[in-house]
Amino acid sequence: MDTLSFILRFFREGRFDGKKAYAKLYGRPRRYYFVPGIAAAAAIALGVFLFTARQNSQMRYYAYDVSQSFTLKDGTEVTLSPGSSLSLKPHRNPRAVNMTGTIRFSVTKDPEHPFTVQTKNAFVEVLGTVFTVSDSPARVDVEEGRVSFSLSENAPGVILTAGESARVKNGKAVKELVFEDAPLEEVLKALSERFGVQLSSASRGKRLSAEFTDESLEEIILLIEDALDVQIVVK
Amino acid sequence: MTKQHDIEGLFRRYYRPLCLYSLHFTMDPDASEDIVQESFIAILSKEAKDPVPYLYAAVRNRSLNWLKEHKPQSPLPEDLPYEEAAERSDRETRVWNAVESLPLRRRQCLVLSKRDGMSYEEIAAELGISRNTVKNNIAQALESLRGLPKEEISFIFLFF
Repeated sequence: MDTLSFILRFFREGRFDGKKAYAKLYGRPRRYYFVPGIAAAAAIALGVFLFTARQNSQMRYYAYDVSQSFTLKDGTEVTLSPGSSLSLKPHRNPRAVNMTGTIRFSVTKDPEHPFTVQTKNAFVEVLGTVFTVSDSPARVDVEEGRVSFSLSENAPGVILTAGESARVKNGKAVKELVFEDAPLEEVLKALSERFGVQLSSASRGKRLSAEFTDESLEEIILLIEDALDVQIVVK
Repeated sequence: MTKQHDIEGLFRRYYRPLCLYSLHFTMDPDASEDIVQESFIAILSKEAKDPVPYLYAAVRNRSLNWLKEHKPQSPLPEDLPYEEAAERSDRETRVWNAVESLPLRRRQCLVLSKRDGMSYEEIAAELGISRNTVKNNIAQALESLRGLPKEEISFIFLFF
């Protein structure tokens, strides 16, 4: 029997294959035990990765050269001043936002879930209100409702109500009164409420732009009288 | 214990020649594969500088034992010394590899004709081609198997 006849008599594709035999004897048992382990580990790792990725997935909002308004997932309306940005993790907490710049918030009411704003150096927590947060210098202006303003999430803060503002001064969150081209009557009314007094003036048609933080009532009265050349009566 | 990558290399290089060597005794491909695998496991668990002669010896002994047990009536084949047996097995492996690397249609025609003893007509019907194509395919297959220069075969073999 010549070689070719001998070979052809027994030839079958894949027969006498050393690679296959090796895999059967050495490779497969190892794979048999390892592959499910690796696959399970990979599946778990993928799951954790996807979960983490989902938990960390961010929504970002920007205003470049003009103001931009957006409605967030929870219905809160935000208006970003030029150069501002806002980000949030919708799957972790849609009512916890990070921001830079200056943003006006009109927060939907949800007593169960306080709305929080984190900036580089301030933390604002609200229930449902309208307010503006600026990043640097950190400050908050409240138009409606109540806002807690502090340096960080666990630091003691000040409670701000409508018309009040606060900023960071000497490492503390302090209230301030801000008036921009406001009629003198309005300024006196706000100061009266703030200090629990009755302020009035005979002058009419005067307007004031000023910011008061921790000045005393006397200082403020003197400043206004000096700036507007008016007389203020305290009762 | 021989290192794992050495074992894989030995399987790639010597598994088929050893199977063919065993086949001369058993004429039973499945039995021969079992014998060769058992021999590998037995030999490689021992420390040996050159395990190949031991592999051939183990395959020979196991093949003879198998023969005694399963085909006590069959005549014993020519018992070659190790070098000759290894040379013959390598030569047969080259032919096997050459058959394996034939184009599919040629290989089919050749194997159906020579291994299964089918006629040209039967092969033509089986593969849905003409009798003439079957004939040509077989002729081309045999030509390429016999016409391969020895150097080229060994070259292919070296890199198998």
